[in-house]
Amino acid sequence: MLKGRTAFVTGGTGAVGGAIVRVLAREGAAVAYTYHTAADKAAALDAELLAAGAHAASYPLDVLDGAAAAALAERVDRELGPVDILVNNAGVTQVLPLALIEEADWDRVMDVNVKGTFLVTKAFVRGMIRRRRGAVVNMGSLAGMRVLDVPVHYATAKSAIVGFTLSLAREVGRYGIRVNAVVPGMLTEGVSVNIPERSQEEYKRFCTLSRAGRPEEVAELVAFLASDRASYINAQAIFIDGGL
Amino acid sequence: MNSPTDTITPTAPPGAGNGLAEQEVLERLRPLITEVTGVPPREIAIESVLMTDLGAESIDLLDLSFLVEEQFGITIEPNEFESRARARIPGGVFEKDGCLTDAALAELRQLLPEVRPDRLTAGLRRADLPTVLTVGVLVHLIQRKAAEKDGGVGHA
Repeated sequence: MLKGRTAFVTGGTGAVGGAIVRVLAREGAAVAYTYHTAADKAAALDAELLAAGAHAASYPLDVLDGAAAAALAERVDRELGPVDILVNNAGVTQVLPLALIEEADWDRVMDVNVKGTFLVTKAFVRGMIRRRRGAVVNMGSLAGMRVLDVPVHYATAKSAIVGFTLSLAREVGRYGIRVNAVVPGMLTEGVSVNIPERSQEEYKRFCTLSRAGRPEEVAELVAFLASDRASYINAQAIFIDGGL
Repeated sequence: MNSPTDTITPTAPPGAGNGLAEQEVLERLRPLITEVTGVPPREIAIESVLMTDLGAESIDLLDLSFLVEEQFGITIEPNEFESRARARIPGGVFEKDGCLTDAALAELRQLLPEVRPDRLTAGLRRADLPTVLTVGVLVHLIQRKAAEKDGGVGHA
């Protein structure tokens, strides 16, 4: 499905990011992915991908360093080829009620989730415009779309990702670049593990599939949206929540 | 919309005349502008303002810069003119309270003689700079970059 394509995934060592990297590689894409501090996890994933015969490489990146992101875009272009799939997956959260969120907490969550998406996208979208081809998939969250028991700064940041997606899709659609967001519900891994047990049970009660999703299921949707099979899907925030 | 013309206004900055001739650049540039704006080549004059006269959006200018790079084999930096103007007022203030300073405007008037002086006046914001760019600005930038690439004088 993605043979001959080059993908760039931020936050590739997390549960969801790792699943995305694996599925994109399985589908034939050359995959560059980033990690912030988890060099050991990246090394393990590199080894796993190499053993599977995948064409992949990991790179350290602070998504808030725009200059580093731009430099990495050039490096990946040289080492793996021009990137035509960008997956903005890197994100952080913390479990705090609004009254206890300090300004620094707010800034950190907004910066990594929103500003990081902006900086990394800026680094890659110029090349996509030049080549008139590309697919961007941004990681949203049900936290930003529904009334849920989630931290306010995280919900705000993920809601912003949807606005970013819609606006950017409008801006670059004329160049054959599609921009979509995936909106996962509660998952078995990743930030969902921070959800209180009571809320997890409540989610399952209202979910038509009565369970949490798996990172691999989200990754399959990301790979589809990144592929030409989704060639007429643009400016969408696609829910993958088990039917809530 | 400016009236169609093939007449070249003699506004080229010093050093812009090396290498490619102005008319040749204009003729090669017109189809590229047409590609991004949809404006027929005959309606593109050297004094046309890219955004207000030809309807280009700011992202069209980015797209146009890529097409120019491919067509002429040169590199256009993001914020090309702003960067050059800033470099000419080292230590000086380029922007204050959201607007370009008198020093910045003075440098830009020198760097962009193709732009009518009444478009580079107090109150202009940095983000508005692309709105004043004319086809002539681009023509002369291409000439200068091409001359630099060929080892000519090519710098204003």
